[in-house]
Parts: sequence; structure tokens; C-alpha cells
Amino acid sequence: MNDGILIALLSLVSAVLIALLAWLRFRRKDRADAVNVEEGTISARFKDADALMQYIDARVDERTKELSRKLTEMSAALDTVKRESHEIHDAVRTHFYQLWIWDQKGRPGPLPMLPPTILTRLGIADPLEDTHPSLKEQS
Amino acid sequence: MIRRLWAASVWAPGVVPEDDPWRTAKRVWLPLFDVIMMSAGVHAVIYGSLLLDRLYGDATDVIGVVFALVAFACLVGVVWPRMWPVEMIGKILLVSLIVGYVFGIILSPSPEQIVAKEAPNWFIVSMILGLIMLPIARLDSLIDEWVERRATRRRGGRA
Repeated sequence: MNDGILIALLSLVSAVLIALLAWLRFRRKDRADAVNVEEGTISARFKDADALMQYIDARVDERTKELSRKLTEMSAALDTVKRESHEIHDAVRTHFYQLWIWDQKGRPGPLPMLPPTILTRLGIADPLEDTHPSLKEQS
Repeated sequence: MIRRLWAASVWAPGVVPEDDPWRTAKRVWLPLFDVIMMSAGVHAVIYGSLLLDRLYGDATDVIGVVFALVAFACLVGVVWPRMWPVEMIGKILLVSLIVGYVFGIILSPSPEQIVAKEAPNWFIVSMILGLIMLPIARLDSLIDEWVERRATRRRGGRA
């Protein structure tokens, strides 16, 4: 047989073989995936770990949305409590210092008071109510 | 038209995902490989080929044109991912043409080789066989992408 024809035929056969191998490889991979879907395995629902992680993250976010909101509120409330607590602490410390100064100077003028905002925050309407003249009159 | 072609090509942003392991190959190496293969076909037409001329005479031009066209089909398939079936068929034909050439080297020694009773040029054979690894690897990845597309459809569009 002419070499040229033989080589052309071999080339054609190799093309058919490569196509056949490619088809078989495709069928094997595709069938494996189809079986996974039929069996309902986790890998059937998600092609890779990234997709699965995204799905889990989305579900967790959805389930914990309300809890997350409450935690954010509580965190904000706790921040306010801490800030006000420090303000009260500072104000009381300053107040004691002012009282000491006031006493050391021979008690000039009226008794130093806590700032009205601190008193309001502490729920004290009148810090001198126990010594109020009206109370003395009652007793 | 040109703008739309560019937007659909592998060089346009977003066409090949950033995390695609074949990204650089699709944008650089595979098109370059196909261009070189096209040039091989063109050179066969213009300058001829000792082996092909001996085997096929004037029909070498036809083989050169076919080779260049097959390589061009591969290039089109690589550059525009939607043309993946063209690339798949092109790669199969390209590999078979290269394999055919290898058979030519082994089965059809030159008159000089016959006179000198030389063995076939195994060095050239090995080098040319090394040439088909890239298209075969690409064929394999095309199969994976095909399976991936069908898998995505099977899951109702979810990856």
C-alpha cells in the first residue's frame, strides 16, 4: 500500500481513537456526577467546597440574623452603661475632692454639689432632701 | 461588531474567571500555540515539507491548508470560549494530524536513510510527540468544562 495512504489512514484512526477516548472520559465523569445527583449526596448539591461553604455561611447568617441584631443592641447598651458609669465615677471623685477643698478653706459658700446631669442619672432629685427645712419641721 | 467580538474573547475582563487554573493558558499559551501551528501549515504550503512532498507530492499544499485551518479552528475556539465544540473537534484533528506526521517519520524513511540504513529519526519523533501534550491536556480540560456545564444545569444553575 502507498505509504501516504497508510499514514493518512493511521492519522484518521488516531483521530477516531482520540475522539472515542474523549467521549468515554466525558461519559464516565458525567455519569459519576449524574449518579451523585440521583443519590442526593452533598457533593451532588455542591460542585466544590467553596460553594458548600458559601451555602452554609448564608444559612448561618440567616438563622442568626435576629440574634446578631440583639447582640448589636446589647453591645450598644453596654457601651452606654460603661460610658455613663465612668462619667459618674469621675464626677463623684471630683465631687469628693471639691468637698475636701471646700472644707479645707473653711467651708466658704454653699456645699459643692454633683452636676445636675449626674444627679438625674442617679435618680436623685434633691441631694439635700434629708436635711431640708421642711423635714426638720416634721421631725 | 469588533467591540462585541472583543467583549466575548478571553482577553476581555470577566470572560475567564480570575481563579480559573487555565486562565493564563487560555489567554496566552494556547492562542500562541495555535498561531504557531497555523504558521506550520502556512509554511508547508509556501516552502513545502520534505516528508510531505515525498508522500503526497502536490497534495502537500492541501495538507498544509487543512493543517492551518484546523489550527485556526482551535484558535477561534480558544479565543471565544462559546466556540468550545469547535476547539474540541479542532484539537482532536490537530493531534491526529501531528500523530500522522509522526507515523510518516517512522514508516517512510527518506531515500538517504534507506541507503544509509539509518533508523527513523527518533529525536524528531520524541520532540513532535512532546508537542501534542498541550492540546491533549487542553482537550481533557475541555471535557471537564463540558461536564461542569452539564452538572450546573443538572443542579438548576447552582454551582
